[in-house]
Amino acid sequence: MADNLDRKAKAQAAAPRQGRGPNKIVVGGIVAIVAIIAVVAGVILADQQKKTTTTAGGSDLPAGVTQMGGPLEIAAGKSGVPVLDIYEDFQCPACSSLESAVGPTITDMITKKQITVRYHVMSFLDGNLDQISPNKQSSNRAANGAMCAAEDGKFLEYHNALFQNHPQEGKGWTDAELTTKAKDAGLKGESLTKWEQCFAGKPYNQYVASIDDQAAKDGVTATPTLKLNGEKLDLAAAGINNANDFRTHILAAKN
Amino acid sequence: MTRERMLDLVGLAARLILGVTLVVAGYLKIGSLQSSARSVQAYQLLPFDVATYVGYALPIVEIILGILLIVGLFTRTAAILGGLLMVAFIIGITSAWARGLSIDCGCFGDGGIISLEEAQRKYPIDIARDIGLALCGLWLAWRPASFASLDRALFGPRIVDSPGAPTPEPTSPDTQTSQSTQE
Repeated sequence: MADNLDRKAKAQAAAPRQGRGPNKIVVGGIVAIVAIIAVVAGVILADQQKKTTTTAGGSDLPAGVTQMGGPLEIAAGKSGVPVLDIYEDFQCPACSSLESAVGPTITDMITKKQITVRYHVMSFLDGNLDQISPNKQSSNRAANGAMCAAEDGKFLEYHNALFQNHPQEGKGWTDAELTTKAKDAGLKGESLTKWEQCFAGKPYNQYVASIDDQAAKDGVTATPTLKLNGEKLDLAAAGINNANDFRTHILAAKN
Repeated sequence: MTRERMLDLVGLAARLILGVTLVVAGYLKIGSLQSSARSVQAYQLLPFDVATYVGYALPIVEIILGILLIVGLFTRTAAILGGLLMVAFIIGITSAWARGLSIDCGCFGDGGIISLEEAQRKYPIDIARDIGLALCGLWLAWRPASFASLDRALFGPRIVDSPGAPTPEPTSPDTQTSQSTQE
């Protein structure tokens, strides 16, 4: 009985509401249109943003680079030597740890022309860190600085200088600090002036911006990633615990 | 408290859990749509350019679905879409795990550096979380009625219950059934 009354009351209450209340199709239509506009606008904006970053600066290829997206190669100039691919972002703390552990060994093997090293200088961390960093686009600017140093054959020196006194993640570098790194890399006088002009003009920026896409296509999702003769090298899995193990492992891998 | 009210409370909880998670996940990624695109590319499941656009759209879609769930507007539709999104994430993460990829799921915009061991440890946690969230969606798809929803405030108490849904009161009279078919 009570249930019956309740039912009637509800039916009566609901019925007129149907007539006066908002029409579900209209509300649904508005929500759908707003949602579609938001998604389309967001995708277009992101696409524009991407185009802006990948078309800024010049489209020159730095010394040691043969194609857009490709690595900067420091070749041993001999056949049969192991080829080491290194995917790094200059702002990445794990890259800094790797560099302090085996960086000097890599440099030594390069100097002795025992290996060919291909540096893939990524700058994807800007995407995460620009939200907190006081020095925006630090990975991109540092990468441009390294490419400018390559003009004078000082890529490796500049690369190593960046990992010296490596800043805390999210802090990055100011342009002045990146110029100091050029001096640390041994650029002086006319070479330094040329580096500064290059750094200001960013002739290699489109190359720098092309590396991340190629790395993602190569399946590299994190830095540092090492590949030895094209095969992914996981240091822990390979039982490499120190710089000596590293050297032995690399040199044993004849190409 | 009647059984119906209990179920309405469960509905509210499901809405808030799934809705708030979606909004937070979307909000953390929307500031960097380029990173979001990278996270989707990292799964290597979609063609590269398709993954890029999915990555751009995903945070926005998550926020829209999350807001609809939190306010309880078009709860069933939002819950089905949100639940399907979770199923897609579960498939993606499982597939990444099976292929031995060491990626961060990118669920909350983190992404980036991760070791294989860390990835292997995190995959099951991510999957378990997404299964829980998918169940919230499933519940709301089955029974979208809940407390404090705009569906109820705008369209009346029962209108969101489509004929296919089990009515909370077994003795529901014909008047209500016919009313609900107007959806």
